[in-house]
Amino acid sequence: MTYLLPIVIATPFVVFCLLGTLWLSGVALSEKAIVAITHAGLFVSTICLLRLLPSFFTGGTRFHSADWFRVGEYHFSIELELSKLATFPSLLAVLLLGLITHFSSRYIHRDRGFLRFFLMLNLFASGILTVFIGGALDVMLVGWELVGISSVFLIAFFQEREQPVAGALRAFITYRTCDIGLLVAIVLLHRFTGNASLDDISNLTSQQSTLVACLLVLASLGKSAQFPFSGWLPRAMEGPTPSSAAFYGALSIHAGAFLLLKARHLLEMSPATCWAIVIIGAVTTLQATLSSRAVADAKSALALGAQAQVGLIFIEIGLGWDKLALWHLCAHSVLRTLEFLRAPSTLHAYHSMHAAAGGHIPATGQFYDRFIPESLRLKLYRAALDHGWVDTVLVRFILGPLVAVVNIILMAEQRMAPIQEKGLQDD
Amino acid sequence: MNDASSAQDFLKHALDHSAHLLPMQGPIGVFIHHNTLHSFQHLLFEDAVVAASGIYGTQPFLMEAHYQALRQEGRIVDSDLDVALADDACDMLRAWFDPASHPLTISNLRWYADEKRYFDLPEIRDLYQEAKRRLPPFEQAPEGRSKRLRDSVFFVDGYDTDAIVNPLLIHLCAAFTDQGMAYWPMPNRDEGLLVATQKLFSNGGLINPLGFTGLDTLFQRVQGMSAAAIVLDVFRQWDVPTSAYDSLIELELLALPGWAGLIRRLELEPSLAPYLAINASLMDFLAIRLLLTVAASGEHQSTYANWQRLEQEDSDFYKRQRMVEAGNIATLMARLNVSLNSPDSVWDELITMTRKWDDLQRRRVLHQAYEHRHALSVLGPLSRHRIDGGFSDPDKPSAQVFFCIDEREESARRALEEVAPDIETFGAAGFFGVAVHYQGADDAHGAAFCPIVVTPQHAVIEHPLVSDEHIYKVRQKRRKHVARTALTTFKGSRTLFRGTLVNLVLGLPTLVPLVANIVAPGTFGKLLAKINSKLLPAPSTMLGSLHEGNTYHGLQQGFTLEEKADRVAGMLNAAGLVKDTARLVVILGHGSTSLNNPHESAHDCGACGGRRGGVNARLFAAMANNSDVRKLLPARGVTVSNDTWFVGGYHDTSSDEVTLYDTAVVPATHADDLERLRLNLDKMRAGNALERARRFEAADGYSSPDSALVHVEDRAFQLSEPRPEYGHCTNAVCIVGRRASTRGLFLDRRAFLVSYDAKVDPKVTSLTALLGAAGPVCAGINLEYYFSYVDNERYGCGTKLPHNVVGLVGVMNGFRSDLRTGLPWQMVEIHEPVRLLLVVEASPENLWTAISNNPHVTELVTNRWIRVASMNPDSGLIKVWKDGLWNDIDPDENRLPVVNSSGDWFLGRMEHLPMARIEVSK
Repeated sequence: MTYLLPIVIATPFVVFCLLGTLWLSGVALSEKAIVAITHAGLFVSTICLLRLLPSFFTGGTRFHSADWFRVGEYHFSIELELSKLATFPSLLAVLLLGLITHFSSRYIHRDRGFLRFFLMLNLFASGILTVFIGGALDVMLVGWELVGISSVFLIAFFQEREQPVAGALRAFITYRTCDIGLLVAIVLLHRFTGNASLDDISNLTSQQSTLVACLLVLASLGKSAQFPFSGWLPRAMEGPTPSSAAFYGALSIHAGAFLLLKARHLLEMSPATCWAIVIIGAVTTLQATLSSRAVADAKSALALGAQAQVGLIFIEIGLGWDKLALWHLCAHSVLRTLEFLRAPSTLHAYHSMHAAAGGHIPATGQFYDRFIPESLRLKLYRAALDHGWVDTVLVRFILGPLVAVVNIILMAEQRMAPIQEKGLQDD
Repeated sequence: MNDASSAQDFLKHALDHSAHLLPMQGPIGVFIHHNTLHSFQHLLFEDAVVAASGIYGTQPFLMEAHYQALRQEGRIVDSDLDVALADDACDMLRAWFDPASHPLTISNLRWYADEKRYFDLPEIRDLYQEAKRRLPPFEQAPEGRSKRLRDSVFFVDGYDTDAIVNPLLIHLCAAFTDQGMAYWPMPNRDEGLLVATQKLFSNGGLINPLGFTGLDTLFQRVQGMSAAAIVLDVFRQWDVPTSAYDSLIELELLALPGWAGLIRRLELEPSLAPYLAINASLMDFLAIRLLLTVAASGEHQSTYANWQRLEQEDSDFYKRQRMVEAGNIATLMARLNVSLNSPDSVWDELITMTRKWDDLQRRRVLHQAYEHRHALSVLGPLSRHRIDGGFSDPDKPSAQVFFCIDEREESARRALEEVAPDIETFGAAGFFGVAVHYQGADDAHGAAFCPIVVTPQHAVIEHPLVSDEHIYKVRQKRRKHVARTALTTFKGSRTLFRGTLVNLVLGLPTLVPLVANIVAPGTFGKLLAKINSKLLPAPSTMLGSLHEGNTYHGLQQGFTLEEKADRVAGMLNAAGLVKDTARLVVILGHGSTSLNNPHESAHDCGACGGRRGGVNARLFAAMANNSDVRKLLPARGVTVSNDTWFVGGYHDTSSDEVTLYDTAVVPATHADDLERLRLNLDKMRAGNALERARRFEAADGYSSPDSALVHVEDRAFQLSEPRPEYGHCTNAVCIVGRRASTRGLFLDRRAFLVSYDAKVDPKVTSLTALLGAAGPVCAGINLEYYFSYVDNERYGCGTKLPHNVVGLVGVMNGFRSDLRTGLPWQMVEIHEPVRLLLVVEASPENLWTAISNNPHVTELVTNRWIRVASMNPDSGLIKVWKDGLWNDIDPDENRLPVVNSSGDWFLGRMEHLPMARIEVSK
């Protein structure tokens, strides 16, 4: 039965390749066909996962390929594991993706990017499932990158406008920065233990484990939009609503938290890292809550709400409450998905609520009005407008100088090897 | 002092002048269609669209490629082009209109020149060189648009201050106009945008937002100054000459037209704010915009004169433009076999012609050709139908049904006449002459149910019947509970503590609504409705009658007898129903319900001010059934039979549901009539649904009325449906006349139908009133669709998919964009952008009298914002108005296909269908 595990992640990827190949070879697929193929792929994954479900009670399923390649001491094999931890998130992922597919088949109907949307959705499905059931960090890295790249392309779905592309670029840069953590962690683990498994780590020294754990935390911060890498999330709301739901309500945003849950053994060896996670989660939660207070648009409010909840999940993980964290993660994915999908109904919902309440909806934020002096209130509000200054500080004091340095190098380079553009030929 | 105040007056004047260019759309919850270029209406249409395109950077017509594709399809034929070209038509010009004659454009030049070596082709090379030699230099370039500080900073220092200013300004505007979405309302917003912002930013000691320097000092410095004083101060700092105020303000406002427009609307009409009053002022907005620009440009500021000197034009532009022109002339000559050695006169003619008929002029003419074909395809069959005898209305109709003039009701009327040929239908503006401020039993506040140009003088309140008082109390109590629960989850799920609780407890159970909503929207929606009606029992209600002396917000409550009689008689008179009323007369208002659709209100009844017209229909019926009112009618020229009973109702154009009101009070003698009518209305719903489904790609394969009805019901409940209905899309015609002239014609849901009988209106008073009401309303709808289709990204609001509801006042694209106004692509995608063709069944003289009686309509007609034709009430002869003359139409275009039923004509076809005669409704 273990052979079912690679099928789970391979089917959406095969669908991605199939759709992509047909597209490149100029075959015009009907919308119905695209949706049917996507559904079929997810259906196969679901069936495989369901067949493997009984193993939940017997400790999970492991898949171990033969060595793919071997260089000296180093050998690489594909390891997958449907652990107790991964079972429910994986099932939830295929369910939510199936629903999003169904939803999008109508929502994206007749849009020029219909095929592009479903291509990316399949790539994402394959990626997120790989993150969930990857048995070692190097396998997870593949999924991690697929999630990242599909997320970036869907933020830039409306590529003819400037803001979506800028938002996507920002997400991309954040992802890449944080991915360094995962990549270095893998290299170090290989050096320390000979493989990238998170289970064979008993002989790490405490410095080694802290170092690797910290790198994994860095990796998790980007995808889960935690402090200080949170600025990209509201800007990611440029994509079509169902992709916002799938990525930033349901799945992608929880990938970081999931990575940390998987690294539980490692975290146990490094209490300092756990405290760092608690602090980061707490700061994120406060920052997101503060920012969301002044936000008047539906999607930003949801994104910041999601960010705050994931911050709480980080706190739970840092405190070692894994079961609560897992429950919180699953529950939050479902609720937030529905809220994202219903975001365009905000007017309708508010109107009926207002009428039902008899024309009087109690004002919010009175607590803060009553107990905080005006001058502080203004400061808080101004901080909220600027999303807790996180980005401002980051850009002004870290990115700004960095860009300045790069510009100096660029100018020096241009002086040394000038590039001339060929002018238009005439006559 | 005097100087200062006169400077401020001058500034205010300049602001008012520029503000006219801002979009007129108010908060999106009440969407009223209007001419997007309302402020250009004093110009000829063709000039106005070009002028506007210069100011807004928009497209005036479709792109040429679009028209050329329509020529390929046969939608525009060569004779149309000849008509549009009129005296200019000649073979050379025709060849110039062939797309093969101008393969070169500025954007493809490089490809042709460098990659395809087009200018080296043997048949082109010499002609090209000669043409280039002969092309006269361009006349002095027209004076460039004036520039802003932003342009200067961008040009000189390479960064865009708008990219810094806009996000913050958008956030401020969103927080300021917010109607209840943000958890914290903006502090001090009662004092206006300027003071609130000023207090926020002069509070000291904190980090400047990205890109700004010295925001705190700046705002501290202007403390206590009025907005106008601040604007003048900044202008002086920049050395802006007073003569440039207008253009500079215009540019600054148009950098963020959506938000500026909303603030302007709320300033002029504060009552538009749906829930909370907003102390809006455009001068505040401008002052903040300028202050932020100052803070964003820091030391890069310079003076106005400096900006204007910037040479932003691409120096290469004229060179490339020349290459394009010469290349296209060479292509044309090669195609026409004009030799290189032709005399000078031939060359001059060619050059003059190609310069005169540039891209814009070609598109203008192609557009006229496009509309010409449309007019023929409507007027020809219309007159043929009359010549062939037309269909008369039934002699003794079993019922008479009034619909709104809305073009979406055209198919409903036809469907009803097909299933029940003994029913007569009428069209009247959907508020049915009853302008009223209405508050329903479930409503928190009242609202005006009438066209926006009318201010209601009367209020009507819906009360539960005394016998149902207890049900009403239970209902209201439970609704409050529901509201409280909704509030906890709606806002609560985003807060920290409640949010966590909501997530942990309710998270997984929401799988049920999530799955049900997506997989079976219709079934789930109906289930919810059923649970709702069990949970919230509905009392029977009545509409409040006249309370002498009792006022409601200063309005008289209820109507006096005389007023009622006036309204009933006025509506029936105008529609031509002055005698022989049937046993049942049904008045159907309309509206539209859909989920996940911020533009929901745009589908409601325009004549009811973007609201649902069931109320007006119900009220009208109640008035007309009043026996005292009936006694007053004959004196007003209307005889209502004694056995006539009026029933009000509501038609949902999205789910095609029909509700009839107050059926409990219908006399027992009329019970059978009512039952029969209900059955017919049910058949009508299904037939109408089937015809609507033909346009929906997703409804592919629905070929029976009942399955189509299920499909359209699903659409109304579906969260994932961006097109619950196509709304006014495809509207193109407005026919004012007797139904007999159009009965049995398949008009494809594209014609507004206004009932009018010239015979009972010798003094054209009714016609004047009808045109005064229907003309601007229909033209507004039609022109909004025109502009939103022609330039969807700038006149419209682009695709719906990334829309993000903000502040309950509008939609943005994703995160912090300008407020998007106009119509989304999903609403207009199948539209044909032609100006409204108004056909009136009245003699040209009477029609012209009616038009001239109303300056607004006159302006629309003489400036060609609508096209007008007269149909002679006696002979059916049609004449088209063009620049003061009434012209006959081309008799060749009189084909009219005949089919048995509408279904035979439309089933399986998605495209725009020509008119046809439907035999079954005879």
